[in-house]
Amino acid sequence: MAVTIPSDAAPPPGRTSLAFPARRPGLTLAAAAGVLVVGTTLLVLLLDRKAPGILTGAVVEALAHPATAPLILKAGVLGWLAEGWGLGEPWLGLASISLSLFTIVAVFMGLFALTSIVERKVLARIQNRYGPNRAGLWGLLQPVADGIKMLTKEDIVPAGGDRWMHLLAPVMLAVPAFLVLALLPYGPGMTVVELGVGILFFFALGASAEVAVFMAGWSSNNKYSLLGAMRAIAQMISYEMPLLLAALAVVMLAGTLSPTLMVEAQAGHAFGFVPQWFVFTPWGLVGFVLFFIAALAESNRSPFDLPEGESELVAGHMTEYSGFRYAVFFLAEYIGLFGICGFAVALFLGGWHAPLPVLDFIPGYLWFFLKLYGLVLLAIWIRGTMPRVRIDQLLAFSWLFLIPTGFCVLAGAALWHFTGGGWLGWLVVTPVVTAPYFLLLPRLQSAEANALRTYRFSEE
Amino acid sequence: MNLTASGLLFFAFAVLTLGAGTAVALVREPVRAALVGALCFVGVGLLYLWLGAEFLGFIQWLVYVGAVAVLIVFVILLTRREDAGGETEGGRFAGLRVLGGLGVALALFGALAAAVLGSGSLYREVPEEPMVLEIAALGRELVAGAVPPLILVGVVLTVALVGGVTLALVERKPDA
Amino acid sequence: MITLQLVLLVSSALFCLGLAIVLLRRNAIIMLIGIEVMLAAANLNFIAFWRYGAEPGSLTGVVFALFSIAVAAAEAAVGLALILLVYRHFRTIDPGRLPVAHD
Repeated sequence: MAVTIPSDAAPPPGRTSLAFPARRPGLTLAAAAGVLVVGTTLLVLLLDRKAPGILTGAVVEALAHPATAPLILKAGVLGWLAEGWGLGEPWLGLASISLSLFTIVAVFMGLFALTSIVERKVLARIQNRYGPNRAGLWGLLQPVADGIKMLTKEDIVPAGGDRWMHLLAPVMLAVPAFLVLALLPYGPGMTVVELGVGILFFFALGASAEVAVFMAGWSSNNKYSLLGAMRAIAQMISYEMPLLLAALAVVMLAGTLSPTLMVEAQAGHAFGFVPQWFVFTPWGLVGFVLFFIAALAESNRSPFDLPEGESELVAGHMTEYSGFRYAVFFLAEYIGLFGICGFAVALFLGGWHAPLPVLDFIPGYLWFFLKLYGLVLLAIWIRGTMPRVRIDQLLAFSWLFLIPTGFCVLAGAALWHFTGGGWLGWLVVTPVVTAPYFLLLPRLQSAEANALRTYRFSEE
Repeated sequence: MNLTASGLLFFAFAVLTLGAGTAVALVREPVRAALVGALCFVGVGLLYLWLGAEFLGFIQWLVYVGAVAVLIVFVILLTRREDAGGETEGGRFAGLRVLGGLGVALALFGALAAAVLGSGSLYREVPEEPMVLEIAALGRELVAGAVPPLILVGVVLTVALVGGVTLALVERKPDA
Repeated sequence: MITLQLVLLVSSALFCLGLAIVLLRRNAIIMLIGIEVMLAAANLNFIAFWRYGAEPGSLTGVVFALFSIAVAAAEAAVGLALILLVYRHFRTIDPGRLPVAHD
């Protein structure tokens, strides 16, 4: 049955055509930023004669010393700025921080693009299909195509919604996610912002994500958005506790709140080959699993992706988002996943340390990113294989199992400290940290706990 | 009075905090008022950071923004009904109430400001460079001198948590 | 140069703002925010006295503020649960419209 579209219908006032929506701020913004960056770089390189010499020297030296290559390159650029441009002290410090931030943002944006295609490919393979393979070689240009699609879509603000809050919500989610990246210890001397209370700042930033999600849900003026946001917040609060308890155990034994010092506390190898990472202690192993499960829930990853469970809530708090703003949400989720996985690496997996002494020749920052990406791949694998849990199961899992386990990990870490580790530590701590698994989990897996549930949509 | 960058920052944070606080009193929509309140708590946290108490500033964000503000917003949504409406505007003595409230607040501010300005310089001048709170020292202070209060606070928080849940719990009739 | 007096003035202003919120609003939840603002102002005072105090090594002010934040969190939890209960019972959270408040 053919649908006839009246061709002589007048376009609504304010718009020339229905096919080309008037508001496309995303594309304009991206184009402006691109032109600005490329133009400035070209201009600077063209105008300056000394640049090639100094910068080539830095690159050559960086190639000779791969372990500290980023630091050498940064020093090279700073030296060029000081010599060629005569920059003074306050500006040089600013340039140093901007350089680090720019590098981190660029690296993680690249990682984001890569992950968006890797995730689809891996999921496709798990489901015995090909995944995107049309754009470019093996579909590698898919992120570019997706990006162009996102940026050219119309930007819709729901009628009756709160316009400003709707605009602000994705930004409030993305900015803290990027700030977390500045706290990660990528390698020796490679933390962008060296903060004595880094881990606390990480949790404080996580707290702002809850407010952002609420703003998104509330400003959309849509019941699915609001319900999704309420669920997301309930989930984030519930899983922040195990995350915090697992991190607290590391804080206790490393004796510091700074991620860099925590990584330094995990240096060295026992018997010459077993790394002294916290994950290789009984409390650390349980703590890591706890941290990772909670991290999946905090970043709304499957099997805890209820807030956007499309079978019941359309897309949760993101239902009413489109185009550029949706892209920012998407970006914030991935960046949040990278950040929280980075903290898991720093806290439990030895940060930049190599697993074996013979592998020390590989630079530390590469180890850090390898481990980080391993965790991301693990999250994708879990997404491909686990069914989504139900909301009451989700909350019960945290409050009745993960949080008690967290307290046991804390007690286990204390016992580990007092027994001084070694075989006695293993003997004492192992039963303490594994007890909840045997005592509490069977009840959660019982038939009564998982029986068919009658949903109650309203109390009245 | 010459202002340094650090001094400007202080004024920026103070203006943010006080501005957000004023907005809480003025914004009519409860959810917006609560979110502006969260902004006010963020501003207080920034002031703590400016004063050098990093630890407390982040704790302030964690507790007030992450827990209290979210809790408040949740309760606003749970107590929201069309027939209950927002706030009752008017009433017999509405104008009188607003005037009285403002009067009391302003009078108190006047008294406090007079006391503060009249107190003279009891305290030392501080250097411009920021002083940072040492976490280890704070931990020692807590463990050395404040163990009973620490345990008490733990008990209070637990009781409050259990009490809050008990109060808010809806008694459900068994499923038919 | 920011003096102690200036910080104290800011915190007094914040305290009075909290008081004004409690007195002007007729929504129990927003009034609770006002109470929290007043508490935050008091904490700001403690930290200011620590920062500008004669002995910067003495951490009593910080410890007090820490406890105060913890107690404020407990207060908010119980207070909000009470408000929820009152709402379920009387269908309003305006303290002026509660039956008990009339006589």
